[in-house]
Amino acid sequence: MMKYDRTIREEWRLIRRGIREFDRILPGQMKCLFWKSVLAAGTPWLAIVMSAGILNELAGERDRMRLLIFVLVSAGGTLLLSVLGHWLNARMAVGYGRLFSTHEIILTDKAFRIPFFQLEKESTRKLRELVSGSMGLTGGGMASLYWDMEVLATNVCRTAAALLIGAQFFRQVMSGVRAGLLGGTGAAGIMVLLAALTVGGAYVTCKTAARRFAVSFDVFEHGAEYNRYGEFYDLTYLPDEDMAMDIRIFRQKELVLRESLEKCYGRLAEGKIREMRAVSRLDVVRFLCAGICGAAVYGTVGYLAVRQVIGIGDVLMVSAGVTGLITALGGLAEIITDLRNNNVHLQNFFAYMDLQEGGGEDPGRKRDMKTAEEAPERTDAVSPEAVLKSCGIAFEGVSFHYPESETMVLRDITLKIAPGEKLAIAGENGSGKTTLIKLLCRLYEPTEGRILLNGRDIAGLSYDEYVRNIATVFQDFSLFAFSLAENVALSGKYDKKRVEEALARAGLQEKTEKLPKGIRQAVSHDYEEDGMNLSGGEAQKLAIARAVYKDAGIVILDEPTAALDPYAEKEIYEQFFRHLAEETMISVSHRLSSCRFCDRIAVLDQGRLVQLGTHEELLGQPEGKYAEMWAMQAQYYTSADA
Amino acid sequence: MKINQKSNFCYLFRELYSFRPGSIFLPFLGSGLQVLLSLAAIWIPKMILDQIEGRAGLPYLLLWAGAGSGGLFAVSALNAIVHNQISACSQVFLFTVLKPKWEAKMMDLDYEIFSSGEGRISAEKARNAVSSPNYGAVSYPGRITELLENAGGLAAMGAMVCLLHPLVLALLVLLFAVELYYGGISEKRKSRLKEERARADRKLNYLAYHLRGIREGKDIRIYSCAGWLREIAARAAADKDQVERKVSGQQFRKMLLNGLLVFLRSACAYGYLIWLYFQGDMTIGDFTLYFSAVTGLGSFLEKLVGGYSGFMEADYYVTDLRQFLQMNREPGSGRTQTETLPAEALTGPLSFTWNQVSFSYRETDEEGNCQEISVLKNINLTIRPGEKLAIVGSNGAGKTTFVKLLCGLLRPTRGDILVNGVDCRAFAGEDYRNLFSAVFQKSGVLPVSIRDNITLDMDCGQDVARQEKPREKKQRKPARGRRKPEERRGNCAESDQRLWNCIRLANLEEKVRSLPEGPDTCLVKRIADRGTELSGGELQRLLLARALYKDAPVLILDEPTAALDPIAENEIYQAYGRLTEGRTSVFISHRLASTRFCDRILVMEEGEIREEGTHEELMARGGRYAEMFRVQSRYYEDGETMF
Repeated sequence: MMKYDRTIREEWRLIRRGIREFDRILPGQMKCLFWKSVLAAGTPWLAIVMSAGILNELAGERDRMRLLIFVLVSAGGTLLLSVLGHWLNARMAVGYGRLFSTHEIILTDKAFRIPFFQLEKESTRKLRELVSGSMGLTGGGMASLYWDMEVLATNVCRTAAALLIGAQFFRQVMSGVRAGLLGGTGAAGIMVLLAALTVGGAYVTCKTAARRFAVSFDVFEHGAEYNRYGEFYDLTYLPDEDMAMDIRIFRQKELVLRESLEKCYGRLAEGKIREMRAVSRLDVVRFLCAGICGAAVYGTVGYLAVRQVIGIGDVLMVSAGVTGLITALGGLAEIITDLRNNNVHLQNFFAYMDLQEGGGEDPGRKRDMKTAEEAPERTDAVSPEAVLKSCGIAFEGVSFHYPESETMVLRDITLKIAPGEKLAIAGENGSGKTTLIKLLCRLYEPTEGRILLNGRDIAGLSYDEYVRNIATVFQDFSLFAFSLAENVALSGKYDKKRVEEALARAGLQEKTEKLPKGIRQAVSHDYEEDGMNLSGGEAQKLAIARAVYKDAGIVILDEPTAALDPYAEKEIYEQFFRHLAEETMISVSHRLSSCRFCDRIAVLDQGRLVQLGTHEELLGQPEGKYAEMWAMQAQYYTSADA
Repeated sequence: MKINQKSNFCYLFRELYSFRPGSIFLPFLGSGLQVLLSLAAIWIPKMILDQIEGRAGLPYLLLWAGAGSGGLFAVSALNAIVHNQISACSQVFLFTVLKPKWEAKMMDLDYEIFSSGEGRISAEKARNAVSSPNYGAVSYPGRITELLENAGGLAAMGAMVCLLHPLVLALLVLLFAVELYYGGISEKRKSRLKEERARADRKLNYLAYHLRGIREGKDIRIYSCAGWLREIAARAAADKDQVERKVSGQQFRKMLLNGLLVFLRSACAYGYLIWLYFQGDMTIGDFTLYFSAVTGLGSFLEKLVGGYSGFMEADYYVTDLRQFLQMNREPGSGRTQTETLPAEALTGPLSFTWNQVSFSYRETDEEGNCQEISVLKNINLTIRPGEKLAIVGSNGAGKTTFVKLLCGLLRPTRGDILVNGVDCRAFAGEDYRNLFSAVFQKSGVLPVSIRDNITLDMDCGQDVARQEKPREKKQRKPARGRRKPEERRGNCAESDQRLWNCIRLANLEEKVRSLPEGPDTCLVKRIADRGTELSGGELQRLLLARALYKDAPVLILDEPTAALDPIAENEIYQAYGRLTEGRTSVFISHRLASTRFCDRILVMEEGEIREEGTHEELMARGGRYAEMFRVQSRYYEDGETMF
């Protein structure tokens, strides 16, 4: 048996919240589900009751009119109920087709609303993987809740239908006793026997079901983890054209086959066999139970029919009622176990959805799980006072360590950047350059010290207002599979002329002109079939065009030319850098050549600001880090043919 | 081999037989039991009712009830066990046979086919066929079972109804034909929506599964575009709903007709049976029996149609899988030789000669026009043993294709590549590829230990392509089974030594020593528990260590320093001489500075070699190279103003 550490009341609270939140994924579905369950239980009930009526009539008075009515009610009622059922099905199928993807989209939307440090946290990533993984693997969480609620409601309705039959039966037995067809003790005995069979049958079914669930739960508890390996190999590693080269040159085949079998598929297969054994045991018990009950019910009820306490048609009805009741009660117990198990997944879902929001989004805005249909229209128009023309930045004693680590990545950085200044940041891998940029973009808050924008602490500004002044090209920028123009503007509404200008300045004019749909061409096949893939260099230029289009007061570039060949690099330097006039620019690059375009260079070493000055000044300090790095890169270009 | 329904059936049952011989009988056993069960389910009530109508005593009644229920229990329990077996057996078969087959093919398939559009589509279709335990090729045995049991059930019920009156059977079949006809029309309408549906799904899936990364998170915050994405998601959802509304509307109309026909069927069946009963030809038990038979016949007919389309679906999946597994180089493209030369011919100092080598690939545009895109044109070149070659050129000049051709991943469209005077196509692909070790531009690591990532589990004693050691391909094969890692390691003290040497050479020793589990630390944190993540520079060094460990006669480095800072970059340059000692090497870089260490530099431009020579020669020549060099070095020259 499973152990639960939640009380029934807590379980119920989780389920209720689940139902509420589900309504935000697929509005109205849960209500339809309820009516569908009523129909699912009602349709066979109608058929059973009516056919009993027909048989009784045939064996008894043979009234043709009544027979006709029974036949018409049976066939017509079934028709009506099934039409209603199909109509509901058709309505529900519409939303259901996107249950899984909408669930994912809502999780992703949440990822955009939480602060960045939260998103990057190991624990958040694990939580997201858990929620997405259990949903993807077995529907654990919202989908299971939905499926279970249907089974739950159907079984409740079936129980009710069976009890109706039982009540009718009880009345007949009573009138049989009154009519002297049956002794009072005999009647009581039969009723007790049938009740005991029902309860006993339901109990055994529910016990074995719980055992089976315990096995399934045990087997698939690690399913998500196994699947992670399987998906890595089958979805990421093997189909990748670059990895295919590694595989073939380094003969990774045996290793990959062994790993995927050992870490994933072998375990899933093992689990399936264990589960199958448990299911088979359950089935045997269930059918044994049904057999015993069936024999007893047919025996006793048949006896009553022979004694003419009940009609011959009622024999089938009552036995269907009893077996129906056992199945329904067993099913109820089973589904309650399943719902309780599923609550673990629901808790994870809620834990993720309850993550504190703010940072990337206006923190004041009310959380809204629905897709944008009802979300307030975004205002792309920026209030003029929010966009600053000249931006001065100051770091005051800024130190920083990542939330999940103790190691200081930045130590006591004090640095003033004048409006319009072009600053380069240089340093070895791991010296804190990228972290500094993350702080400036307010993806993280400094652990100590503060950052000022035109004298105001940026922590005090609203995030949306603040980021309007920054255009950043991250080292690992991302492209979206939409049109070129939308990728530049990062909005559905864009100024065509400005987009074209931005593309030209990033050196993509020629490429754009070659595209059949111009700026309306999608930049990958993932969303539009006629998309065009961009090369690494083109993608990088596109990211630069984004920064141009945004026309912000501060431009931040993290390794903007790493993927470019010398010509393209030169083009970027000359086209882009030169046109930055009043904008403040901060650029990080391994290629020190780009430092020469900057007014000053800040050199970071192990999180400290070790040097600050113009290129010439820093070269004048031969002991310094900058001179050392410069010499290393420059030696190959200058020494031989000077 | 031809792929059709019959051969799919043979293929799958043959594979099932070699997986577990008993498993091929399960579908037949299961369907037999199912038919028996449906017969018992309608016979038992009849027997009981007959007893009641005949006013049988309690003992008889109990006897009949007991016997009937006992029989029903035995058949249904056995039936359930067999059906559970079928489902579990199919899944285990999927996990341990079909999946590994697909994976192995992904890694065996000729790279050129693998990377072609056709290859990718076929691979993806096959992946879809084996991706889930709930649908795809896995459902084949279950579908066969269903088909058999529905056909069997139909025959049994049909016989019973026929017993009543042959015309009843004819009428039922007629009603059903109407439904089938309309069902066909409806399916056709639905399948017209298939593409629209797939398009809507793809859009939703992109939004659902491709935007959740941290990478996107940064841009979305800085450019405040979450609202825009939300709008797009809403639009995609609305599109999807619209398609689904059409599909479910079709489905509803179909079900409406089905409901009407069921209404007609039940009403007629009741009417006819009541009439017969009044004629005094039957008992109450017969009445229920025949009514159940009529209903049962209808549902079996329906299920048979559903079952057949289900079977067809499973069959399509099997076809997709087999098409991929059979995929191979078409005979006649390139020079195919039935006999491959032994690998021994590839020992000793190696020289490569490129003879008028061209490479192009075919691309089909939206209108279906095939167009040939030329990547390399007429390359003539000799790489001498031990030579250090550098290749420079702008993006898209064909450098990477050059490398792929050299190490045998691609074959020339025209011309030949000769190794020691022998056409490289004469060797087995694997033997030939063993000559090369490489750090490619976008190499990656596996979620296994650092040790396994570097050694790639190449057991000791089977040094891949070192000239001195003869390779024993035949003997190696059986030794590469599934052995415990400890065991693999135990007899590999020597390879451990080699591992550390490579780690040291690649300048990664400090990092590896600093990890709690040393070289046994797993990589790729998001997959492996307790895994660690390497920085860009460390990753590059690890890949270098891996390339060194392979210890092949030719070492290829494709932009190995792009992610490194100047100091780390310099270290690699400095070590370059040591790394390439005794090997032929090919170095590709954007940074012209790095080419100084090479014996010869090739300048590639639009798929052709424009210039070649040493750095000094090329500078003196004042051509393309000199110009590129000046562009880059300008930034490093002292005192010059930039603009």
